Amino acid sequence: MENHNQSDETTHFGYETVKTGDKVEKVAEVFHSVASKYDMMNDVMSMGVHRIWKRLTIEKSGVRRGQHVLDLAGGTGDLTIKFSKMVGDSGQVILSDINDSMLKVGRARLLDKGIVGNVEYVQANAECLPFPDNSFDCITIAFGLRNVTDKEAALASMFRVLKPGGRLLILEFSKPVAPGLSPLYDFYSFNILPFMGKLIANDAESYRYLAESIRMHPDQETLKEMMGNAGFERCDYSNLTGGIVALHRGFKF
Amino acid sequence: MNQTKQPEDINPLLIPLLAAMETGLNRLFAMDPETFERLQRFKGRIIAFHITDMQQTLYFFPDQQGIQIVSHYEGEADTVISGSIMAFARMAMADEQTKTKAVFKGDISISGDIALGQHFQSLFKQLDIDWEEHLSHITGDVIAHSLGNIARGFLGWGKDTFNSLTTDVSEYVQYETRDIASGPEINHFNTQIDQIRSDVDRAEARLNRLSESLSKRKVKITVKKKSAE
Repeated sequence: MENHNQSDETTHFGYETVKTGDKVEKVAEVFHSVASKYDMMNDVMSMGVHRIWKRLTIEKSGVRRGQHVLDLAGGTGDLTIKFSKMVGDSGQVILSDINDSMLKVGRARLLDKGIVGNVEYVQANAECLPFPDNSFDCITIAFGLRNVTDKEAALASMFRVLKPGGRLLILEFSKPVAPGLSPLYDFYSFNILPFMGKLIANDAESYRYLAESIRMHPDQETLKEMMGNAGFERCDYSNLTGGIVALHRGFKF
Repeated sequence: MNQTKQPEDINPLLIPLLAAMETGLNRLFAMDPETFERLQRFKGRIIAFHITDMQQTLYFFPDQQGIQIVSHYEGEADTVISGSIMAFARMAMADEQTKTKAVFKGDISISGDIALGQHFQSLFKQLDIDWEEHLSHITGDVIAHSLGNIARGFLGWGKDTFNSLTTDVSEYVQYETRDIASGPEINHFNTQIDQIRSDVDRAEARLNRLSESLSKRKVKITVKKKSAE
């Protein structure tokens, strides 16, 4: 990975402004800290709704037997578990995450469930994916893109490794569009969320970062435009739970 | 049959329902430890249930972990079991004979790998859940056993009551009020109908034979006349 430490370029880390090269390390710290409790926190924070969001991603993936799937920022492997059943023995799923703690938790979880044979684990940075061109029928990145420093580079890299005809699905927090939802959501994110983080994972700061990084992430239309700029075609998105989360989809032709 | 729907057709309201259905089924399977072993045999196979009155197909992906259900799959399923909601509900509760009848009557149709579809159905029949054992984890052995006895007693009483009620009602309407015919009467009536049907078939065959020989004779006469001329 290119080292930006010497550069004066800055980027956002939640509401803080940090040097571009430092963001990767800071995000890594957050996820090293939350890895062991990540699944439980997801359930508590989203009141279990993240399972529905992920299910919809699976439904829209169009993945079928024998296909190759890349689950980027796959963390603890929620999507990989489901994909591995759909691609069968003749297909392959690669669970990839930049963070080795998350990847270890994911690998242990899948092995415990007896999911072996068609799943590989790769620690990789989404900005420079270590795969040949045109390798995958489907790429998913669920709740990962907002932690990537250079999103344009990541989208370009995904476009490169996607097969023609393949599709990219981005599940990510977005901008609430349902009337009256924003103030409630803000109150929840900045008051209740860090408190729960403190209570369950003993780490309020990491969860404050999560809330802030969500606010700094591009909204639905901006992300759709970024996908188009990276070369994806027929880009669209669906707002889930009033726009708290959006599922973007784009194809490579 | 068009199994595959466009992703735009995915009903978001269906997703929580599928999640609940999947969790419920897998919890049920977990109650009988042998089910996961049986499920392992289906690993890699895809079983589709097409609900005709809802125009909805559900795809089941079984493996040793349980079953994963999705409502949209762009590939081909190994076996497709089609029917209405009512037909599926009846089949879930029915015995083997009624299930076979449902298939022959056309309420349920199986296409693709038929043996796979039948084996998958029998999975549910093989479920043998020891409710008392599971209850004992919560209440302890003694209470679970007592509750088990009460439940068994209640079920036994219910079954006996239901059986005697059914017998009483059927005897009343058959022999007292004579609103409906009794079993032997219906059998006798059916035998008579069968007899008449056979007689009519025989008479028809005889008539056909006669008319055939008559037409042959006509042809012969015509040929003779022509040759005489």
